[in-house]
Amino acid sequence: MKSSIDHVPVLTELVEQSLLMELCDEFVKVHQVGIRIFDLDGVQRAHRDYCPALWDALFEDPQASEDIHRFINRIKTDPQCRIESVTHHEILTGTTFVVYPLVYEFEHLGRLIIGPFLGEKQAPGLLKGTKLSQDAIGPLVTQLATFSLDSLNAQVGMVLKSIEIACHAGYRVFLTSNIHLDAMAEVNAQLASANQALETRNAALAASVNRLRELDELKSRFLATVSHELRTPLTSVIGYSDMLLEGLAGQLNHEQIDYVQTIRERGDNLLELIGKLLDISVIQRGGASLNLEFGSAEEVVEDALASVRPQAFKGEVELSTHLEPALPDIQIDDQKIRQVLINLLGNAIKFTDPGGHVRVQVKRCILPSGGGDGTDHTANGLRFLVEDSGLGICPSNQKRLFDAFYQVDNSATRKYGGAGLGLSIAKNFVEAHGGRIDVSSKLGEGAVFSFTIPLHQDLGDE
Amino acid sequence: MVELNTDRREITAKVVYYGAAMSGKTTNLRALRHMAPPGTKGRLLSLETHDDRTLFFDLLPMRFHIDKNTALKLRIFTVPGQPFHRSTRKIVLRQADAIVFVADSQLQQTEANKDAFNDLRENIEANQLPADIPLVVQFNKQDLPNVRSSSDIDAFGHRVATPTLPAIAIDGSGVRETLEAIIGSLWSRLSVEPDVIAHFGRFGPQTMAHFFDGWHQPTKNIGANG
Repeated sequence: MKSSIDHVPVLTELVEQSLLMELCDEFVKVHQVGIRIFDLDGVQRAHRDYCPALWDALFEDPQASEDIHRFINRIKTDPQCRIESVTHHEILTGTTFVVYPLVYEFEHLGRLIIGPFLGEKQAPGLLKGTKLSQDAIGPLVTQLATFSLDSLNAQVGMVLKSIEIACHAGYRVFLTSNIHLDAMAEVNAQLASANQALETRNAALAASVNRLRELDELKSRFLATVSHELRTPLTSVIGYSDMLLEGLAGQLNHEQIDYVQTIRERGDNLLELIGKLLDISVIQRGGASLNLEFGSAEEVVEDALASVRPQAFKGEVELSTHLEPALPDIQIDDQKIRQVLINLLGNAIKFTDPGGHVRVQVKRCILPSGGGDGTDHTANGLRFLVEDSGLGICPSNQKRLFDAFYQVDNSATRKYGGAGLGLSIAKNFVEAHGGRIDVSSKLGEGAVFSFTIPLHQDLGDE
Repeated sequence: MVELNTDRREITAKVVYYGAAMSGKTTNLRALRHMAPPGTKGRLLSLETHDDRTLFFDLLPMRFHIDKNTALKLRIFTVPGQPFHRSTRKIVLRQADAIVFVADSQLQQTEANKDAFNDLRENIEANQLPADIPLVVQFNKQDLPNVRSSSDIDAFGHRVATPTLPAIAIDGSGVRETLEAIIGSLWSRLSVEPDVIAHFGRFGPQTMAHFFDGWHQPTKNIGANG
């Protein structure tokens, strides 16, 4: 690709035509001789005549007019006049014209023609072959200035120098503006190339995201299918275990009862896990729908406590409640909120050593949005808190606590059991109610899990 | 890309002086203009900042008579050396026919020289110039202390298979020789090009013999720039 600074400029790119005209005006005024400036293509770019009446008189005759034009055309294209000035005589009037090359930095830009004038000791013209009268033309010719070639060269030298200097200034501007344009084009090309690369990367990224979405969908479907297929035979395992324990297949001895009870307990654990897997798969597919009804928070808390009491008893953990008096009814899906509480209480008991305690609190709260407009400072939600005196969680692990399948310490899975789904399910159920779940804890100082639920669900947008 | 003007019997070539900032590229052009006789040199056109650093480039036109009717015209450019002028260097280097790399001989400038040389290689490639483009490396500022020795310079020349010349551009020494070397490299390429032979005929071995007739000797105080 050629750079625009390599382009050799033409006369009009370097010097303004008005400037050339100004130069011509000054030259004629001072030296009293006509001047014409032609570019390299022979186009006249500026001129000024000294004695226009002479031209007018000559052009009255068609033959003379043709002769004069032919003469000018010849001298402005004369190949001899490239490097040095050349003198020409116009025979009709006997006047002289000198052609000078216009050169800037070895580049031929055009020609400068000076004339007509009378050379020293020059004979007048003959006007042969024309209808022009010597008496009419002669006086006009005698008005022309007389020059020696040397004195003319000196005077024209000044004009040529002026044009050269103007060309130099013009070339400087020409180069500066062109390199600016080239630099902008270069930057644009670089930007276009960077954009192209970015678009390619974006397309690859979009394809990856789509693929990941597909995989996620597949995973959710897989979870739902597998959970369903596991639950059906497991129900039979539990049912037949119950039948064995009830002696429907004959009396069992103590050892057999012990074994079947173990099968029954493990079956229950497995059923609970499958239930959670089903919940999470439904949530991840965006299918967790709420069955909303107004009900009592106390009842939900009591139900949840009843579910975990055997676990607390076994773990020697003390359970207590502190509910604000006269709590208002709340619009919730009670099964889901109960599940949230069971998950939080189950975790709290699991991670609290024997002799420790777990406490549930429910109090009124003001939520920025949700059941009320939050500006009248009246309670518009309830805050549920599950507080334990257990191991506690270090702050760096608290962020991911609500991610599905996340366990703070993988060894805890083996020690305490669980699949790391309870908190993720709890978070989704709380958020489905327009609430928010949080944890506050320090390592070794127990933990407080709390969640808020608006008293009224905004159904207007549904 | 060499331009051939058969009407005017002129061959025009573009030579670019490349190198790190402050290595002496503009000083080379000033010295050339100082030493060249009238008729050989044009005006030095500098597009520079207020503190005399080259902003875009310098341009020095020169014209040498190959024979009575034929001329070799050179458009000699410099590039701005500062690293952030990379795109300007790339633009100025476009369509170059020959390159003079001006290196600063001071040992502490070795890294800057290396960076500029690598930048040159990248821009030669980016502009799709021939990998074997005529190239001469000038080791400037030989008058300063702690500079590369001549054996060091020769070793570099052998390693990169490129003619190398010592110079002190600020007083003109080595400047003309550098130009002679690059014209020599360029001419040995041009004079056998089929297009040149077809339009201008074959030139004898002594073509360049009179290129530098009438040149002044190097003198002090040309004035540094970059």
